[in-house]
Formats: sequence, C-alpha cells, structure tokens
Amino acid sequence: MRALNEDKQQMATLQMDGTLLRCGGDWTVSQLSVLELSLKQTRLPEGRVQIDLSEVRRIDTGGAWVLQRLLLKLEQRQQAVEVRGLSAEAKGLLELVRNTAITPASVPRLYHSGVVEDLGRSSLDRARTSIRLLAFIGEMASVWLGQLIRPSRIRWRETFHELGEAGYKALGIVGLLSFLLGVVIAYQGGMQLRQYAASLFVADLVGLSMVRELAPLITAIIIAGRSGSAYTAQIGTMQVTEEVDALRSMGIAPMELLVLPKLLALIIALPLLTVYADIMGVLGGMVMASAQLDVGFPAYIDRLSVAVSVESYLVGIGKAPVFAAIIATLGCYQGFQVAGSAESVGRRTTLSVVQSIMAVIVVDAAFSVALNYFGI
Amino acid sequence: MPLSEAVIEVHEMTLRFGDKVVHEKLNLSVRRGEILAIVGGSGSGKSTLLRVMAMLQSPSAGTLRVLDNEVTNMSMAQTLRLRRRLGVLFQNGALFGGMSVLENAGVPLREHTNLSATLIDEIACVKMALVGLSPDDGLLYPNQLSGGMRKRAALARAIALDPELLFLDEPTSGLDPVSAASFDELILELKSALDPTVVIVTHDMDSLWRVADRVILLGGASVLAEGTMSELASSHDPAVMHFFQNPRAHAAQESV
Repeated sequence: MRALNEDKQQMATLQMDGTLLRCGGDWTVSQLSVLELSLKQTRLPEGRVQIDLSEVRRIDTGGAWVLQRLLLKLEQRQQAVEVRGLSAEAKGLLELVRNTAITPASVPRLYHSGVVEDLGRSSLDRARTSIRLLAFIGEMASVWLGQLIRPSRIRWRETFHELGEAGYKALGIVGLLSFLLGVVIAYQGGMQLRQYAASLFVADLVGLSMVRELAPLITAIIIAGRSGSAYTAQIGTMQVTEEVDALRSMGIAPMELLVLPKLLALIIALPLLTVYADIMGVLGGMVMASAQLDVGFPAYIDRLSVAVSVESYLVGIGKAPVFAAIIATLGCYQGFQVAGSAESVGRRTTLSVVQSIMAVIVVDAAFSVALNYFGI
Repeated sequence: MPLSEAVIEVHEMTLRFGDKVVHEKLNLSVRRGEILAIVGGSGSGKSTLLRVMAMLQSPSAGTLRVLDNEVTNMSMAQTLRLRRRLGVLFQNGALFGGMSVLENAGVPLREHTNLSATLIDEIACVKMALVGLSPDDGLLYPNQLSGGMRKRAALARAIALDPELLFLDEPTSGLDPVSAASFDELILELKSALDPTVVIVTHDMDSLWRVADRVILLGGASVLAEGTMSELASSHDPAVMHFFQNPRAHAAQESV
C-alpha cells in the first residue's frame, strides 16, 4: 500500500448520502487539508450514522485522528455510529489513536496574559535585570580589586590573547571607517566653507569633530558590534554547553578567567584604537582637503596644531576606557544571562550590542554636557 | 510484495574525511519491516553510517538506494520529498530550544501540510501520547525536560509524519536502566503500531537482545559480521567474540 507513487495521491474526501458518510481518497496528513475545511462547514446528519471507509486507499495516524475526532463529536451528540469497510491497517490505527485517549479538549492551551499583567511583569523583569546587572558589576569590581592587590592573579596570557582579538585584529576596519568618516566630513563641510572662502578651516572642522567626538564614538560602536557581540556569544555558548559550570567545578572563577581579561584588554585596546582612528580620520580629511579644496598638506597640518588643543585630544581619548568598560561589562553580563537554548544566545547577543551602543551614546552625551559645564 | 524487500541498499560505499577512512567499500541492505541494529566499538563509524543512510552525509564513493530511489544523483527537490518519509531520532534529541515540546512535535506537520494549527496541535498530542508523554508535557521547553523525556519528545517529532523509515541514534544512551528498558518497549510498541522499518545504532546489549531482529557489527571500516543476536553471540570469529563475549554482554544475554 505504501509503495504507491507520491504523485498519484488523492485528496481525502467525505461525501454525505443521507445518514451515510462515504470516505475516500488518501487519509494521510498531506491530503487532509480540504477534508478538514469541509468537515468544519458541513452539518452532520441527525440520528443513526453510518461511516463507510471502504474507498479509503491509505490512512495514517493523522487520518485516523480526524476519523476519531468525528466519532467523538458524534458520540458527544449521542448519536449511534456504525463504522464499516475498515481495512486492517485503518482498524489498527484507529484503535491506536483511540487508546491514547486524546480528545480535542486535551490539547494544552498557552495561557495568554492581558496588557496590565504584561506591563507589570515586564516592569518587574526590568527591575530584576537592573539589580542583577548591579550585582554583576559589584562582583566584577570585587574580583578586580582582589587582583589589583595581588597582581600575580591577573591572567596575562588570556589578557594578551583578548588584546590581539579586540585590538590588533580591529585595526583594519577601524582605520578604514575613520578614514572614510574624515573624507565625508571634509567633503561635506568643505563645500560650505568654500562659499565663505574659508577652506582652510576644514582642518578645524575635521580635527575637532574627529578627535573630540567622532573617533572615540565610531571606534566604540565598531568594537561593541565586533567584540561585545563575540563576548556574549562565547560566554553564552559556554553557558549552554555547561563549560561555565565545568570551570566552576574545577575551582576556577569564570569572572577571573572569562570576564576580567576581556575587560582589561578592552580598556587598554580602545584608547589605542581611538588614537589610531584620530590619525586615520585626520588623514582622510587631509587627503580630501588637498584634492577638493586646494588646501595643501603643510597648511592643513599647521592649522590642525592651532585648532585642536591638547585638552580636546585628551577628552577624546579619556572617554575611550569608559566606553570599553561599558562594552565589556554588558557583553559579558548578557553572556551569563543565556539560559538553555541556541535561540537564547542569539537574543542575548542582539541585546548586548544594542544596549552597549545605546549606553555608549548616552554616556557620550553626558560627557559633552558635563565637560561643557566645567568649561573644558 | 515480499517482506524481505530492501528499503535501503548501501553498495561499495566509501566514506573519507581527509585522510581518515571511516568506511571502505561497505555493503549492507536493510529489509522492509525489520529492526536492524548497527553495533561496533566507539569510533567504528556507526553514527556516520546512520547519517549516510539518513541522507545527512554523502558518501565519498559508492551508491546508496533509499526506498527505491538512487540517492547519489538526486535533485534537491527529490531529496527533500524523500526525507519526509524518514524520521531521525538524534542522540541528544536535537529538539529546538526555542519551542515547547508540543511545537517541536508539530514542526514537520506545520512545514509539510496545510492543516490548521488546531488540528496540528491535536495530532502532535496524539504522537506525544504514543511516545508516553502527557498533553500537559507539551507546554514544557526542552531545557526543562529530563533525559528520558527529551528522547521521547524527540521521538514524537521523528514520527510526526508516520515515517516509513525510522533511524534511532543511541536511543537508550544516557538513560537509567529502567528508562532504557521502557524505551526499548516503546520502540517495539511503535514498531507494531506504525510499522516502520527501524535502524538503530546502539551499544546497549540489553536493548540489542530485546529489540533487534538483525544485527550488523562494524569494525575495520566495513561490516565484520551480521546475523541475529543469538547467531552473533555464539559465533567463533575472534573479532565477533571480542565484542559479544565479555562479562557485560553475558549478563545481558542471561537476563533475556
């Protein structure tokens, strides 16, 4: 029966002939959809019902269930039913499905909550998340202080490895993007400045905006996407495969092995990357200025040394370690929040990147306001 | 049609990963309606052989026929259609972590049929009941399940489309003896209810004695011996004796 070719399949049918229900075709899951619809729409006959299955060519568990469902419905309406023409296979399957004692009512329904309940739950959830994050930062700080007192506990090997991953390997993309950013600023700003015959001030524009604001920001955003996500995915996967628990069982603090080297490495790497981004951004502006605005390299560099104060330069670089701490903390924290499944790793990684970038921009704005207040 | 008709034929199959030869010119056939067990030491390529037969791994050389289809030169569409007629129970269940058990059991139905969500859930419930899970277990997520329940849930998913061929990769590994024994019974019940051809990879001696109609012993990159469990257990071939005549194997035989 099973050797029948796939293309020769027939839709399952049910024809009503007074009180006789004539079933035919293939009562298999792939052929049941039309029958399911028509069963919903047709009114079943009253009184004693006969079901004839002699024209059913094939049947599987799905088909047997649809039949059983019909029988249950008739039973509920207290109608007498006579089933005939059952093949041995159909009989066996019907018996099997009946013995499971499943009824349409036994399918568990997911509990759907209302708006107010959702709001309450998500507020509570967020409050708990904040507390857990604070606890995580506290734990991290205490382990770190312990390491500062006894520097021999710092894991230099892991730290250098992370430094290579997050710092050295990011040079290409950070360099390219800041160079292009410098080009764009010089081009867009230079066009305006030329109208006032002030083309030389393109050095001020590119220098200040890159060094003070954009280089630290773009570097932090790239690193959040590149390294922050990697931290979450790595720790999250280790969490799923119980590797984190394995570390704990061997008496190795995950905080010490997994988190602090990343934090330390990023705090070292991000300011250095920012310096590199400064140089590449200014270089991009310089190339554009000479190509489009006829501002030569010497004139540009002369102007730059006047326009960009040491203060501005240090403000830009000084923000980098703060951004680094935010990215590493959120990345690792989200990694430890992973529970159970591969899907959870994906969700937490997204969260980690989105939250890090948001936090970096918010903190950057706070820096601007605060520095302005102090007049730096 | 004759009962001994072959549903899977592996002919002169060779499988290499780089320099490592896993199978060398291996021949075997699986007959319709039987429960065939594949045994062998760790690293003898049992699971890769199962993966080849389930069309999850293509062989480096040789031919493979599954349910009268030459698999080696099949189009993508044909392969996908053929795969619907197979069910695979993976060693660790491979349940989708983001879905409840009920949703997991309904995945093949949702993908390959046009039935309504209600009917799919009901059929999934029937399948769960067949593997010994209650409808309420359907709301649990895979990480909330015990090892035995996870295997049962994965089996419910594997039989969602009433497969003609069921592959079980170490179905009783990681289960306590009681759960393992009840899983063996479950396999026999499903066999009699849905009548699939079953291929089991295992090294659980109790399970071999209980469920296997025929046993194939792998070793040295090809088939060392095949026969019923009692034939292999009484064999005088040293390689076969090494596997079947040790204290653990004896204990399993005596308990039958």
